[in-house]
Amino acid sequence: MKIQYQKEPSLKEDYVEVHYREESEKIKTIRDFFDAFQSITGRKENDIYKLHPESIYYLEVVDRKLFAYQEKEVYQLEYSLQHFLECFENSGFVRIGKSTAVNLYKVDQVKADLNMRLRLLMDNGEILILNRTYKKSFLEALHHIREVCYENH
Amino acid sequence: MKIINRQNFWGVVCTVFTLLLFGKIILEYVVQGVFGNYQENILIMFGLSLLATFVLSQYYRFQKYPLLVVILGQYILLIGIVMLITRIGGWFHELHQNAYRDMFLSFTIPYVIGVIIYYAAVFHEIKSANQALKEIKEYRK
Repeated sequence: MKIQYQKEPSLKEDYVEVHYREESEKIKTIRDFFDAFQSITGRKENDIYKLHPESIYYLEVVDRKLFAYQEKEVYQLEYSLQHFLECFENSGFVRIGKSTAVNLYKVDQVKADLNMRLRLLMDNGEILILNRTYKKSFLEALHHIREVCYENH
Repeated sequence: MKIINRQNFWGVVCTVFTLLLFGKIILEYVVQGVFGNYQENILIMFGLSLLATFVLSQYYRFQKYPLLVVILGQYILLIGIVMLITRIGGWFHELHQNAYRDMFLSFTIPYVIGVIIYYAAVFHEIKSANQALKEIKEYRK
């Protein structure tokens, strides 16, 4: 396998790109390594688990503790919501309330009720309320991700 | 830097129009000594616009309440003030027999149109957001 390192001071962010013909064991190992690089730890009933940010559906602060909600599991994180959003802003997380943030990639649909309150239907069937204060930033983040997808396409 | 841009264009048009109108009213009063119903109506409309804009600008303070309640609450408050102003006006000169009805319609119709435009804008935003979600999901497949 050919490995190249290139120093580019003009880059805005460091990145690693892996080119492969087929997903071999070596490639899987590399993938696991980089996945682990981006993983975080979550606590559940005194046990520590490794979580990948992309597996988190949404985050909520309850009694000053941050909880990460996966499809079915809930873990407590050792982050503040603000700190988490700063660390993983590129992973699709955006604030939807004073104490809630959602992973945009896990949102299935947006709907409005009679009061024009926006409801986010998640991929796992849960429904979250988008606070009107955060509507603008939510929509901006959504359209930004779409633009990035187009650029990379 | 552009002083007038796409964002503030209509705001500038409204400001210039208002200043020209006030200039005209003041000039007519100073030069011709005229201050009749027409000038009075314009000043009342300006006062109502100022009041309505102020009340609507306080919308952000009521984020935790359902939108329908906020819209109705603001409407009831504003229409109450409009009727009060009309009544106070009646102490100084005789009101037309349809004055209250006319003031009610003059205020309610633009308010309802504004609400409809707001609701339409929200539905447009939702449609656009769902389209974006669909495209993002297709891209990630």
